[in-house]
Amino acid sequence: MSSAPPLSVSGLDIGRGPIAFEVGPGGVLAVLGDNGSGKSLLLAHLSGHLRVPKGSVKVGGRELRAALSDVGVVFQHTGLIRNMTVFENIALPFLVHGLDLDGVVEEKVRLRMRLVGCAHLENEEVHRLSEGDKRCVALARALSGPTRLLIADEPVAALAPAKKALVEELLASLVRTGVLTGIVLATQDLDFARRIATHFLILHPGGHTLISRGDAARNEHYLTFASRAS
Amino acid sequence: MTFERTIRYSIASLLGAIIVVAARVVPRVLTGRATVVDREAVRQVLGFLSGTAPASALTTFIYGLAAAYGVIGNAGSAEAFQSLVLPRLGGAFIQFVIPFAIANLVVLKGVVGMTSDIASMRVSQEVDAIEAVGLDPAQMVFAPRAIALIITAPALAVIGVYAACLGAWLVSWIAVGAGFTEFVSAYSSSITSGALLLTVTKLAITATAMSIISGYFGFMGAKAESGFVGKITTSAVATAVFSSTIVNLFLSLLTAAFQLE
Repeated sequence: MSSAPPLSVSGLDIGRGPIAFEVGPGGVLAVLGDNGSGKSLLLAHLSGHLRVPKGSVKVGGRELRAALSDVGVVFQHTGLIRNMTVFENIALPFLVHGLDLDGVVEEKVRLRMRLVGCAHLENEEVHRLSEGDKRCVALARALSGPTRLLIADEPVAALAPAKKALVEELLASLVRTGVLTGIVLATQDLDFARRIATHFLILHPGGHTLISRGDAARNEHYLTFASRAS
Repeated sequence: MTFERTIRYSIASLLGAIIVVAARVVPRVLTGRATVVDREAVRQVLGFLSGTAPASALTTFIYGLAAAYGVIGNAGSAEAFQSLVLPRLGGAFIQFVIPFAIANLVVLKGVVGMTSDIASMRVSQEVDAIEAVGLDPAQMVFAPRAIALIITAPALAVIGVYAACLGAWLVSWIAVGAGFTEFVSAYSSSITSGALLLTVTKLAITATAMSIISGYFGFMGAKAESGFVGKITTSAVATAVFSSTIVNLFLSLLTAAFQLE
């Protein structure tokens, strides 16, 4: 078992000065900030969709480029493949990693659908789904394959309260049990972030601020202010 | 990233993706081991064929009507039309009219559909998601659509040549009372297998060029968010219309130089 942190970022510059932080084992980092503050841009760099211009991003001690298969991504616009069903979308990472669609994989896919509460949507084409259901399916797909680190852009946006609670409990249990080594999520939902995150990274025009959960209570005023009005 | 994207979606890479996927799809589909990409390719071929066949048949039918009407009017007599013009009509259609009509359809429906599909998949982050799960978007998104275009264009030529025949016969029947069997027999007499093969090849090459233009614009066009898909598609169509003319001209010169026609 590697002792390297699940995610280690140093000197990453996305136009707001160099950013450095680590997500330790079982850590959940909530990236907060106003619209257009660069949350999605940061996540695009952390998930390998944009090349890191300066600095380094390491996943489990390896350079991001070499560890992309360990990273599951929930995209801001979900990125579900429109011509495929819910089942096919979630099965895709398994099939890509050399597995045939046999009973074992089918069971894995169905397990993920049950975990995110979309088992009843198995044969639906994704373009027919509501925004909230799309987000759940995108999460299930991100958890397929050999995912160890989850990068999620607004994972609970547009979710009904019951679904939001389900997803929150799922994410918390996945890091608690070690299925995921860490989570980085961008959100506008401060209450959700407070409940799940171990650290907060607040992006604002002047740069960024990193606060741990222990400091959050002390910085409550700042956390609320900075994430909503930055 | 731009350099990486330039390499990933270069003309050579896109052409390579078509070849790789085509080489995989056929054996897998035939042996019942079709993957997600293979099923997508088959779905695209059937979708494109069913989407363009009626328009293609109707367009060439109207070309047939118009051409026969014009030719009969200028032939002077029914006998002159039947003995001099009709035996050359099929050959003229297959050589000059069908490639033009089908190439236009391929440019309009194929290039518009393909470019806007790929560009909108970039906007909705489907392309990013495909990369994230470890698939090549050129193989997953582009190649099935390109294969659909390349297979469908020659098939449309065959449909078109007989739809035009039907249109021409209808006018001939009304104007000079031409019998259907005799008309089809005379019309077909000038359609040699060589001419048909040449047209089919020309269209396959044109469709390949059009699909690469669509793929290139779809993947590489600057992402300017608002109006992005429309702008990219317009640019792709403008380039495709120009390129289609150049490709056709080049192929015509080539076939003339080697006396293939």
